[in-house]
Amino acid sequence: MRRFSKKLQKLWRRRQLDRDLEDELRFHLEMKAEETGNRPEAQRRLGNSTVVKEVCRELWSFANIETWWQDVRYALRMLAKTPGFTLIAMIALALGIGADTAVFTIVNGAFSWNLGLEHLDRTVLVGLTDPSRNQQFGVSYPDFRDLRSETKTLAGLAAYQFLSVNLSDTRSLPERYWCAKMSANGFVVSEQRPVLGRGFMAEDERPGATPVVVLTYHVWQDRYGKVASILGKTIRVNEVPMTIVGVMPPAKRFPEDTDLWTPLIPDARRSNGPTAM
Amino acid sequence: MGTAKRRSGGELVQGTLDMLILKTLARGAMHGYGIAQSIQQLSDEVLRVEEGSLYPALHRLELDGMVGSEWGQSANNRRAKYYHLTARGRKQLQAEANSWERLAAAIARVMETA
Repeated sequence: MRRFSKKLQKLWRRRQLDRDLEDELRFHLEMKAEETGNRPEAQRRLGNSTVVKEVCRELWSFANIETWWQDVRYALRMLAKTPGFTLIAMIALALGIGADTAVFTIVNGAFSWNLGLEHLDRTVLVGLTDPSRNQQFGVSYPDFRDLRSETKTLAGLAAYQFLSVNLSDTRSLPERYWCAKMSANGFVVSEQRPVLGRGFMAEDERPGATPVVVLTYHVWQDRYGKVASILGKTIRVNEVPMTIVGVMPPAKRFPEDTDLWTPLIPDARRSNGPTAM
Repeated sequence: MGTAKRRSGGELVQGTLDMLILKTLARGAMHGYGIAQSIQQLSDEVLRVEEGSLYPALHRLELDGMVGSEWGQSANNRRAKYYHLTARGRKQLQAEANSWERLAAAIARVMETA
């Protein structure tokens, strides 16, 4: 800082600085000439003193900024000299940047969607990899149970499995929907709270429990006309009678584009495992 | 013989020029030429300080606030730039002298054992 302010003071007196340097060196060499009596030698040295002056002047100047500013002015002069080239270069740059932005906008819109999760930065998908075949697959239920009880890194671990189901009831024609079988803690882990009724409870995933189902907002709206009395009604999911216990808010469709949720009930006979999260 | 003598003298150990300048100025304000003369005489003509290294060093010390300067009249009535030690420079001189003493003593000890 001390250096900086001193340099600033000298910046406006550059000519004075040059004259002082000149005088200082001249004095030095004249004294030397008088002492040695060798005037030509002193003269010769004064010529060489340009280097010394240069070094000293650089100490006092903002050498980097000053040369940078010279470069900028040189560049502007050259650009002004060849307006045709400048125009073409600017058009090329503009088109390039424009195309870049357009591609980014399209890709960003096409490949990123709302996962329905609040804290994506703290959410991980747990899976297994077979290194010999470089194949990835989900986690079996026993493994999931072990992971959930042993984990110290994760605040909560839930599992889901996707399947496509037939939904039928006494109101209208059966429809094909995506159903996520999800462990009872799934709504807690994915931070989804129902707008109507409740989510899953621990009892719901016990083997032999009364089958329950939670609907997404859009199924509730499109198929059941947003009637609150839908709670407690029985519908058939793949021919299994299930009681509607809750409805989730709009735009909350985790995982992916699921339409309804049923509890993931452990089944020793199941071969393909669910995905843990 | 001649070359050996020149090599063993006159060349300053790196970083000691600043210390020698500060030490010289500790005895009073002086112009660049006087500083060079003083160092040369006190070292029995072994150390020669040329303007090429003296003035950049002086200006660097001035920028760092180790020395101050003002223009005055020399003994033979010429305009000359006189340098003087600042409080900061005095402190720096003390620190450099201490570390030089330690270094010189250490080198001496090593050379004696050989």
